[in-house]
Amino acid sequence: MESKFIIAFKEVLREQFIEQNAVEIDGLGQFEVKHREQYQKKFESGKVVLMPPADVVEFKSNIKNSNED
Amino acid sequence: MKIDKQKLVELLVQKTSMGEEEVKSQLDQLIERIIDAAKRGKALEIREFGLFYFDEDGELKFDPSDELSTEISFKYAGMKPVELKPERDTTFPEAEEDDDFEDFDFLSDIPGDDSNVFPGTEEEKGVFADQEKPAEKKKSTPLKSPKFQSNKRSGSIIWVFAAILAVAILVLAYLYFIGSLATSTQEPSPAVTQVEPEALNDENVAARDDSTEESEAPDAEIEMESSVEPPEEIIPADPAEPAEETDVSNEDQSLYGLRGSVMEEANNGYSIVLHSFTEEENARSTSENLTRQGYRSIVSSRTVADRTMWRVSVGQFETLQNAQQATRDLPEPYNVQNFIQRIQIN
Repeated sequence: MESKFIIAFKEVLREQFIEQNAVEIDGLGQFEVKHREQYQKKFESGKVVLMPPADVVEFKSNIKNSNED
Repeated sequence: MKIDKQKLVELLVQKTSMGEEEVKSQLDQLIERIIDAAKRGKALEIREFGLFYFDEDGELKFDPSDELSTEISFKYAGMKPVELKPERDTTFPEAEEDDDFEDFDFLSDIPGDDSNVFPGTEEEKGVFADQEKPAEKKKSTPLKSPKFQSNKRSGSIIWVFAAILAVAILVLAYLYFIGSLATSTQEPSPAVTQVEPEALNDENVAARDDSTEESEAPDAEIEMESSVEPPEEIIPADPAEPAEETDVSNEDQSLYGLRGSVMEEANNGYSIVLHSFTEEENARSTSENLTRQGYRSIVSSRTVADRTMWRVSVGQFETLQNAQQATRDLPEPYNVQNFIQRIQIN
């Protein structure tokens, strides 16, 4: 496998994620960018922290280890 | 938009200038290697992209790398968690506690799955659900402690101490009263300035109003109105009478608030961040737009991972709580997509 391909693979996916596009690769799974809103996190100590919003990548796959065997 | 495998191949062909068949073959090899490594109980890492592995349930998982996560979430880069309520048995955090908190690195410490980071914690979705409740009011220990009632055996000793304490306090209060009387006859109130800096701020506001106001309502009323809520007419929504309205905004505006013009004296407070840009020009134009809509708009920069981010925030608020309450007055989507930070002037 060529390193040129791996670099391009990373770049293309990153570009698509930044544009909020989902990427579905047959045989692997689907990548999707989700927005996580800010939220309050309460600690057992009583401390409450306001967590900032973020965009996160979620990956879903139908591939199971048992199916592959 | 969804990119399927065929579209991905096309994009990869453009990027690599390889042939379509070759790209397909390379992609299949990559998928095969990922699955193969995972089946052998190993994780395959694509550097600066992420990690593929099978979890305990045998499902294929992907953990994005820090670099990828940062890049995707660049709009929020540099935003750090804000402590709303300190640990129990402490009063509400002032400046010192906030400074400690600044050291907490959000980007590296908070991955997507928060439950792993802080086990045993509860999360509440939504914004500022319990704003109506004021922060815990813990005043200094009252003179009459509950121990006085419960511990009757040593009651007499305690009573003696209490009596001595009360006398001492009375004497001190008397001396203080005498002292303040003496000074107040000469100069207005140096003691008050030291005890309550907020009072000084209010005086400054009153003084400023006084100097700009000529023949309007009495100063006391102006101050009271402005401290509750800035009057609507501050914002020139209709440019029909711009000159008159801008004058009003300068005179009647309170020190803190969401709308009006930015007050230099209020830059020690908090502001609501609505946008984050990589280009200063974009930040400035957005800020100008917000200013035209009547908001106090501030542009500030912060360097995150060797990258300068330009933040556009609105409002100046004395406390975090006030800023949080003000987010409710913002239109959608800003009323939920925002973040509060200490005001930073470049």
